Amino acid sequence: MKRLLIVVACLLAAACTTTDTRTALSVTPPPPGATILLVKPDIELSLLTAAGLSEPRADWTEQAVTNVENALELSVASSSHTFRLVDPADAMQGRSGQLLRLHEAVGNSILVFEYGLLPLPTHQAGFNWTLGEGAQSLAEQYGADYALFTFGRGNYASSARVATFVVMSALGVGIPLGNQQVFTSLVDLRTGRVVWFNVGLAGPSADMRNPQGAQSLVESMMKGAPL
Amino acid sequence: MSRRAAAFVAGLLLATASAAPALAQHRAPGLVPDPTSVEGGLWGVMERAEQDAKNSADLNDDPALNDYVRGVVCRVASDYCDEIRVYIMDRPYLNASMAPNGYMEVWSGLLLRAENEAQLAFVLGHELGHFLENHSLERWNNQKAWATAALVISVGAGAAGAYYGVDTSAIGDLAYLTAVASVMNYSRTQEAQADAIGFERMVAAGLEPTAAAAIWRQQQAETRASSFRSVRQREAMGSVFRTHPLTAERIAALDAMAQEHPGGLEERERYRAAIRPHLSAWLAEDLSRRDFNASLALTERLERDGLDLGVLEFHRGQILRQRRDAGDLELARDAYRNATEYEDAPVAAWRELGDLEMRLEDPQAAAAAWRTYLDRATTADDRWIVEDSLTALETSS
Amino acid sequence: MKKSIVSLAVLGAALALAACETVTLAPAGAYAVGKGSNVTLTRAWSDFTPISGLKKVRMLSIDGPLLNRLYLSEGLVTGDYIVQPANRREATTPLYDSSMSVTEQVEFVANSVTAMSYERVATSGVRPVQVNGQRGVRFDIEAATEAGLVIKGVGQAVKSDDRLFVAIYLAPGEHYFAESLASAEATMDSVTF
Repeated sequence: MKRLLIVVACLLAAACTTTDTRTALSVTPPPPGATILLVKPDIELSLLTAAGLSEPRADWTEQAVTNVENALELSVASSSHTFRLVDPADAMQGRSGQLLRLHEAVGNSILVFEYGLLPLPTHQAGFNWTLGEGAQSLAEQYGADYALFTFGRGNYASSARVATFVVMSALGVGIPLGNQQVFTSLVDLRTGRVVWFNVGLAGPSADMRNPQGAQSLVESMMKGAPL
Repeated sequence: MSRRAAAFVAGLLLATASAAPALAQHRAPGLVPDPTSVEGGLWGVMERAEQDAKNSADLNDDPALNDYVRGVVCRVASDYCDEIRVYIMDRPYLNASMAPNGYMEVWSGLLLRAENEAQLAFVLGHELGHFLENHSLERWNNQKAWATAALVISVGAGAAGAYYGVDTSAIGDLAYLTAVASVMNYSRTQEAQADAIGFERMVAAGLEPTAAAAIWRQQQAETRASSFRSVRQREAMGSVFRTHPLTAERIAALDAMAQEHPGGLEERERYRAAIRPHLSAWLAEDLSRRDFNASLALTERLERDGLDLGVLEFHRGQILRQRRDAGDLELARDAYRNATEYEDAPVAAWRELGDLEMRLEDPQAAAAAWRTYLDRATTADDRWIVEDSLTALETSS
Repeated sequence: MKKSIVSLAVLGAALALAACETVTLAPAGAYAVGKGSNVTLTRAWSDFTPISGLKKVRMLSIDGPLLNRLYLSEGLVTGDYIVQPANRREATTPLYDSSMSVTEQVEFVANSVTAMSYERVATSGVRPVQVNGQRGVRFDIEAATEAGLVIKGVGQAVKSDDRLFVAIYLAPGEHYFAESLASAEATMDSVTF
């Protein structure tokens, strides 16, 4: 999901993590003990400078990926399922590579058409997106029933930025203080359908650079997931 | 290096440096930055760009070609060779770029435009020069580079183009913008520095000193020959991503440097042998830029040594036929005809020749060419088109 | 560098929630392609033409342009294009010429797909078709996105009265191509002019 960063107009920055979920029709949750393929989170975090530019931070990114991955493992385990980890970088060849790229295209399409940016008249009858039956090959390759994808992009304001914010506010001008947007996608690998999709905006207590924040963020994101 | 960049470098947590290189003092080989630093952030971005290159449809992973190019890289990179990872991308523009983490892209447009190994070695050495002098870090520290790179990473230009029938291959503006390219926007001083390093290393590898000025000069000539006025009006660049041109000063400096060194090897035949299996495909891709006159200039240059004339004359025919200016169809016919004299002529040459002979009202020549095509192209899926043309011709006579 | 900002502007303009132009529904049944050309759609498609910036060409999709697209052109004459050049004064995209042979028509379509930013475009299996009483050709297309997603397609070129009617169907090879192929081909079969 590296390619499309959308500011979702309907989500407002709030004190808690806000989420906006889409669920496919007639979804039956996986039975207990199902295996979830946890795809390594694709996260990139930056520092928002006083001038409003984003400086990528390798350390924050690495921390966030580790913390979110750990939190996801806990979440999956707590819903009495097992998980298998996969790093997409190792799976980009062959059919699995095509399915991962297809998921990126499907995810981008969901972001654009399901969250009000563009209408799609041929998709009016409920949330209906799929990777196709080829997803079964992922099920076989990894011995998994479902796949959970996580994607995050965002920045955190530097103290200089916060100071600028204070000054500008006094002048009656609001400036963005940084935000982190996450989305998760749950795919039923036996049918290829995207059964659940969630877009969230992290609140201040859900700072994924530390383990507790990542925990809080993942809890908010996974609440209501059909797992 | 600027004082500010030097301060950043000093603040980096350096991994153990191995022996200093024999040539000028540069960054220590095996340098790895502190992930909390600005350079660490740049590396993170470059790592992701490298992943994209690995997964790209444009990647050319032909083992023999990769071995050859890596060999040339190592010839100029000496003890940095181990930390460089080369990715050959099938993209029809002159470009090579090297990220601070050792990830290097070499585009097919460059491989088509170098006339010999010495010229390729110079350009790769030039890029290595930017790497050795940490020029990208200096640019990265420039806030403008950040903002642009962030934009490029966030929204692929290609993604936007994908939604519409919008041409994303406009002259000089490419759909293939990567984080690497957006940062590689060096200053005049940096370009001159890199020229010098590229030259030094090329010569140290025993290669011909005049090759450096030669390839930059060719690039100027091709730019001046462009079909597109906007390209002609812009000065030639050492890479399609640069904004600082190949000035007369830079070329004169390289000429002067060459004067002070004895002759070296060019390795023309070895170079052409290395690129031969890819020549047809790269030329066809070059044509997709639709800069017909530049493509003709390139073809002419490639023909200078009398090698691969079947492929090259066929390609000339393709260019002229698609350009379709007054008189071009005759010229194209002549080119296809020439092509058929050579062993390496693609079989399509006879089909194209037949089609043009027919259009230019020589049905006998058309029939002869078509029959040869049918003899040679036994498994072509468009035989029926040529058979139909022949039948129509035979029934009308 | 300029390119990414231009593209963002294009994307941004299209994503403007207040845009007057939008994606509309093309229901099953008769669909007008343009001057004197119609097709019959076997199912509903979404019509992206209003936001696509295409001239003389309509673009339909079912799941969005990243997942399937069907381009349908009016009768093209010499100098017309499928993909609009970025700079109108310089022909950076393929232009049709009515003197083109059948092989060149196929090449024109393939080159246009390249101009849409697809990589490694190749055509194969060119075969004759009868459309609205005229003989034309249909052919298979293979391509990839820059990210490496394999794309498959079908192209069609039929000439009538010195005008070329082009149709192009493109979709990822994984699932999507096969899913709407029948509907796309039926639409191509139904072109009238």
